[in-house]
Amino acid sequence: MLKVSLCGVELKNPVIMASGTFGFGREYAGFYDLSRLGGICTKGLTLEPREGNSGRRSHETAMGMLNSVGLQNPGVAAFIKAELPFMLGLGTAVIANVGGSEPEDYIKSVELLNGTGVSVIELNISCPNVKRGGMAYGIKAATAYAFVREIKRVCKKPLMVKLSPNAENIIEMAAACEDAGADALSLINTLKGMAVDVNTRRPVFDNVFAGLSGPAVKPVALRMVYEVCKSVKAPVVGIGGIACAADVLEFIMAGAAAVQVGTANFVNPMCGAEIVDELPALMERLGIKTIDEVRGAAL
Amino acid sequence: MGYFSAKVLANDRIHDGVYSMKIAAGTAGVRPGQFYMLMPRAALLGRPLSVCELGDGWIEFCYAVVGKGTREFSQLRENDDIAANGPVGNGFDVDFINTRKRVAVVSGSVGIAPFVELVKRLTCEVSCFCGFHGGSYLTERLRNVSIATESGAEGHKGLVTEIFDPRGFELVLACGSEAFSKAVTLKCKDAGTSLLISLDRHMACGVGACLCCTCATAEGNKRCCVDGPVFWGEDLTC
Repeated sequence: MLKVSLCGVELKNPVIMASGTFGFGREYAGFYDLSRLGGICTKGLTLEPREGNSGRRSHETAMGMLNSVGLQNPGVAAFIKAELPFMLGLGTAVIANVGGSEPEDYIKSVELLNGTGVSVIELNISCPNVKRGGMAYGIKAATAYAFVREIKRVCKKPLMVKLSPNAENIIEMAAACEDAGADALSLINTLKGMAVDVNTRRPVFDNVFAGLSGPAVKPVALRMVYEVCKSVKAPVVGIGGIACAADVLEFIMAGAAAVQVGTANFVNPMCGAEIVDELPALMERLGIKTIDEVRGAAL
Repeated sequence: MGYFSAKVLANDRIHDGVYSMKIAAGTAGVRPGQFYMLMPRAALLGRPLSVCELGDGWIEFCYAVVGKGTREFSQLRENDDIAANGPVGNGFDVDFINTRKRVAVVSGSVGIAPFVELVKRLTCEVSCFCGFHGGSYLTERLRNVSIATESGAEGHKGLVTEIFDPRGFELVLACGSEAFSKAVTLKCKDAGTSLLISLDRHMACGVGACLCCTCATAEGNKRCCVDGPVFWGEDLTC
């Protein structure tokens, strides 16, 4: 009933945990059986370990949050050694999210991951939180095209490109990535935002700007997924404020092959399991037999 | 334990803008200094509140109303439901602390909360130094207390760090705001006295996944929620 296929990878359901909100799975393994999930995207990985940003890293907003973590991670090699064996034992698809600064770093990261058991590589060209952290490639379609082509040449796994809502034109961006060889697209990453502390009269974040996520961004994310699904053939994974089974179906009906759940994991650590539980009940109530049957119904 | 829904047993104002809330929950193995993420309905993220006191089937939290989430908590009534995740974090190691001879407890404002349960369990010699903006609260549930208030309403007029001298103590236990934590950490480093400090950080997930509450230590970034919130002062570089 819930099975979906994502660029040749069979997922037991369309519910994938989004990068940066689920660590490497360990933190949630005590809450429920993670094999029930469709998949897990790793915390954003870079070639070298990173300590992330200084100062405040989160700020709650109306039905959302800003984050400025800045890709803190142990580096690809340490991930492969210390975290990946655990993740591969969870019984769910593992998607490695790769970020960075220089193209050579991305290439080396992808080459290291080629030889592992990860199912998909998700290319982050959309992180707003590091000055040279990928978003430079995610704004202009022509830049993204050249970059994705270069990565595709070395990538031996299905390549999913994670798009930024801050792209100049999301439809042109999606088309450029597809033309460059992306096997799938995931969107949206966080929206660039900011907050000011009225006590200090200064921006809340050392980096000034931060990434907005949570239910507040869902309508924008859904609109972008809808527009992209109308214009490309590659499967699209919808991301942005998804917190319940009805949200999942909205994105599927807008054309998404699968979805990622992010900030909702912070609100309720059980939400992945709850969504997977709710989905069949909701589908039954709506007279839906399979996910495939309603994909793109709203297009 | 874990993520659960609990009944509110009582929720009383104990001082201007400060409340004591008791929820029904199991307490087996819960340590003083650990905390729970309590979930407001009208805000997105949980609010980390330290365990104030533990009883037979109940947990008490004392919290200051500082924003939307804690304001909502202050309006909860007996029999209301509240979602919670916890206990989270390392907490204080009572057995270890009891091997020390003379221990000082230093708190800033509502940072006094975790020391109610802790001091109850301490068998060593304890002196408490508690700072407040206006009047004091919870001090009657500690022992051997010296008070400082910024307003001068009670005790020494000024900051608690002015009446507390780490020299002469084998171990200092502290909890308060970020500014308070910096001042106490510095003071203990200068005096060469060991410090266990419970840090206050903005948190998002409260399970160790989001990396929003990190603090800098000699061994790199640590997560305040699950690696702390209690840290050795000498390890902190922030």
